Amino acid sequence: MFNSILPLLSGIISLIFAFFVLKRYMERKGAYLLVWGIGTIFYGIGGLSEAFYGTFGWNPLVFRLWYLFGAILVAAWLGQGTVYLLAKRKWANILLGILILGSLYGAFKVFTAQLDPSLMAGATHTGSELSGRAITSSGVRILTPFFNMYGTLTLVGGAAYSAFIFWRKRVLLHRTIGNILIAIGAMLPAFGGVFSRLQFPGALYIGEFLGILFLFAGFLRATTPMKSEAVESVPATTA
Amino acid sequence: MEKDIEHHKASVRHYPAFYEKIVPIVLGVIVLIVIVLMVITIGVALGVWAQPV
Repeated sequence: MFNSILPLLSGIISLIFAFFVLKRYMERKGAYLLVWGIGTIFYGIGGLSEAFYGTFGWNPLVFRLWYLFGAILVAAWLGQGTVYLLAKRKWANILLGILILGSLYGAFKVFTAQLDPSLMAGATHTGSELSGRAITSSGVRILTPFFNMYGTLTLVGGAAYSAFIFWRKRVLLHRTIGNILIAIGAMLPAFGGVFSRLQFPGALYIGEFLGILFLFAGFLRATTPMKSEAVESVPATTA
Repeated sequence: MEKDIEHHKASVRHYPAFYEKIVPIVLGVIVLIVIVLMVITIGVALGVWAQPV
């Protein structure tokens, strides 16, 4: 039940989050919102795939969808949204082109990989959660760290950098708080993965659930000014 | 000149005390965690530790 409900909630929250992001995109445009929207949909696909596995058991198509969108692509695409927000458009476009090519290559590798679900219950994994151990073909799982490294650096780094800039200028407190929440939320699934390898049951799904909660809360906080923006001006002599 | 100084003084801004203290601490912790995560990720990619997810 735990392995069904929690990822189901993650999936549903992700899709609601995607709705908010894409609604904002329709109103304001901005490529970063569109790419974030795509990333949150990927998050949702990952969560719903996990919920399917927890409820109905093994299905190779669902596994491939989970691995492609939930394990390989989600962090990188969310991070790419942040790249559009912070980097020059030209560089963001170049990186998006590389990411699209990498994603297509990842999709090809995942959908042509040989699978053995019995390997998910290996020595370092509980087997109750989906795991890339089921992939027996070479050259597939090695893709994951590269995509996730790019995603973590850009999403967490970008959010932390934005928060630092706002904090240094002491402006827009709601964006400082929102970006900190986003940075924390982006790290939580990675922690879940680490603790999952250390055989903590449900760690991956808990990390993903808390992660999307923090990301969503951060997005809402960053896009909603406080009633009284709690920044005060004082004489420099007291600083 | 004096007017400029006064203007400068008035423009120094502060967050509420709680956020003044907590924000730099949290940002420092986040940076440390990202560095650790990067080291782990690179280690996994190089096969030093367990296989990737």
